[in-house]
Amino acid sequence: MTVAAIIAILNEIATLEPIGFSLVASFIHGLQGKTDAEILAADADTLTAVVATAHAEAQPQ
Amino acid sequence: MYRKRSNTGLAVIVTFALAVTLAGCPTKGPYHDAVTAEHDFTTVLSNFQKAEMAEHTNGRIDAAEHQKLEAGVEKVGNVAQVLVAGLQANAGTVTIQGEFTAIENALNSLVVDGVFSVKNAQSQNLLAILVKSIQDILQNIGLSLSVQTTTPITAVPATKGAN
Repeated sequence: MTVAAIIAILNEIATLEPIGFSLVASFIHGLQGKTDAEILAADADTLTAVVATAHAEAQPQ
Repeated sequence: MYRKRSNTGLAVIVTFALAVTLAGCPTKGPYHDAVTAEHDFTTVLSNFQKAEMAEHTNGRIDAAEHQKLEAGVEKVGNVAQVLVAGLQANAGTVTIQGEFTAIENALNSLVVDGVFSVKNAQSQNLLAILVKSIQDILQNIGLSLSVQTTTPITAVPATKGAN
């Protein structure tokens, strides 16, 4: 692989959608070394925050 | 400087992440599959909300669209909380299947009532890709659990997650 090819790949990675990388990081970080019970407890907290935010944002301003 | 959003790239990354997450799990079994699917679903739902709010803040989603979308997210989130409680209580396979189906139904409402009504094509496309990721997760776990209907899914104590 040439240096140009490597630079092209790095450039492509740098310009990809940040949300995609956020998802990858979340998937891996969220599962790494945790028991199922720990994953569920953390997700319960995440969902509580999502629902609270959604409820507040869904109200007419 | 304006940078063109790569929605195709996002779809590829999400699919890749799901594949790596699922394929990399050393702990197999329907209960862990269900927990992994629930976790992936929750992660994407949270990111859907963040993306929607960013689009709204940037003026690409108006107030009425924003309220509809967040109302839909709230409904999906409420059903997901029931799923998590069911998994924590070691509910039976049929119950868990039913809760995943309920999420699917709430998600369809979010798409029909919220995502499809977004006028900005770029924003609609972004949200549609994230919803598609969730639908793929639900479809995969639906197929997995349908094979397991004769085997109760029960938690294994101190089951470690992926990696």
